Amino acid sequence: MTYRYVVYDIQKSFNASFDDADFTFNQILYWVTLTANRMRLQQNLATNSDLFTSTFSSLSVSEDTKGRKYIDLPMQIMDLPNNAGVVYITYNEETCKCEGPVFAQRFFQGTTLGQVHHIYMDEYTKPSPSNPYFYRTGHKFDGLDVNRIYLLGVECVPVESIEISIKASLDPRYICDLDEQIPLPDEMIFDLTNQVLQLGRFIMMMPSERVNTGEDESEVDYRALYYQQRNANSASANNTPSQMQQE
Amino acid sequence: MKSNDYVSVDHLLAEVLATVNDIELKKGFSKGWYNSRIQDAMQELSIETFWLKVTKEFVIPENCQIKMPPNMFNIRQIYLYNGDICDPGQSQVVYFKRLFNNKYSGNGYTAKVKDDGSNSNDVYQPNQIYSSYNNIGFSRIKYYYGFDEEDGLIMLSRDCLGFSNVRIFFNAMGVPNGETPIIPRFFERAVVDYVKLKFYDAMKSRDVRTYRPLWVDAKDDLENLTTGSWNKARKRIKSMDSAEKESMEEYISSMYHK
Repeated sequence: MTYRYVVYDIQKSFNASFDDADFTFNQILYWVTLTANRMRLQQNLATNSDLFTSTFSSLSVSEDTKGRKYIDLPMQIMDLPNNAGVVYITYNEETCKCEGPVFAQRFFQGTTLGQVHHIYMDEYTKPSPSNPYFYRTGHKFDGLDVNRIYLLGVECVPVESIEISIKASLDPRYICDLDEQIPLPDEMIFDLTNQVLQLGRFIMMMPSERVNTGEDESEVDYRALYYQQRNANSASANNTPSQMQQE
Repeated sequence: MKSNDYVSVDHLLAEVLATVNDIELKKGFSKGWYNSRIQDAMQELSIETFWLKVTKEFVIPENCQIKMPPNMFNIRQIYLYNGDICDPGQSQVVYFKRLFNNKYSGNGYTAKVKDDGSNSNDVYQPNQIYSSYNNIGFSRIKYYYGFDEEDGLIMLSRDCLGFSNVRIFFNAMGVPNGETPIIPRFFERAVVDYVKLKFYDAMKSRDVRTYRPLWVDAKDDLENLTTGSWNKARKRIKSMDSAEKESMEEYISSMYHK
């Protein structure tokens, strides 16, 4: 089911019920993406299948100013417990790239920045080229843009690239092609449509949208306000005390 | 019972991870953590059953002191020998001497009872020169060792320098930490149950209502005196081979009929 098909369908449903509903195509598209994202997360928690898993090979490894190796995630990922949004990260200990002999393929294991000191305590958990780890952290000061993965245990190994498999979430900002398939199973499109309609209905329950006043209240007309105020002021200045008494 | 059949760590992990529902290793425990628990299990079984025996060879140093190798405990036998490691010639058993101390590697030593009679003026001690005689004659034991726990030193008597090499037979506590554990198949069930128990033990502190019942079940699987896998493993490894048992029976029964 394509975005175009579903969004037009929803927009038509809105307009059928409320001919004054002023939902733009882009707005509904945005809601569809938001809702699809949430449903993907719920579906993943329910089934834990690989329906939403994407794999990227030969992702370049960079080094920050302090010499720590990292990769930038190619997409936003689901923020699941214990870094479950990253299905796996591998590199080849022989070639220091993705490809290489199977026996030398190494899996990075997930940890968190707070747990890093703990894994260094035990000989068996200590990060090393054959037992590497990753942790995910924000690279912005406010920590909002969490899109970077640091690699542990490969500090002394010239790793060039890795392979990563992630449970990706959708970014509502980047939908280029309306004829793309919505990345949800077809049986869930009904729920998606239903939830977006619910969202629109909730918004239309707000008074300004629910009651058709016949006025365009979408923007404040400062010029009209100015003249209205000026007229009011001049009217009060022209009022004489006798007039006021009569009133 | 003796066997030369072992299971790999991955073989155990395949079962453990499925049992504790952590196949994707996403419950906050790394593969290394599980490996570490497996090594813990092997260490406990080794210390309890003495099943793992290791031989180490050393050239006897001038100071007659040998640092006990890490991961070893319980010296079983010590032999001195001349010749090559692959072809020992003349050999000699080394005995333990109580309170023998030559920690600072001089020629002499201290001990409560000494074989050279240098304590013989002590009125509270037996006459040590004469006590070294028996009915056969002079039987002074020249080759002995003591142990210094503080520095982990095996201290040999000076007479041991008459030999070039020493062979020490120890028990080991599994493998050194950080190396891949060696797991006999006898112990497979016990090790699996041990790791399960430790997993639930760790999870108990995170979610006690979910994991305490599982921990109780796992504890019973491991520690029940009748059906628990730990006790079964101990019995298995301590039992004799059939051939050993038969030989022992033949030997004992023949003792009185010769």
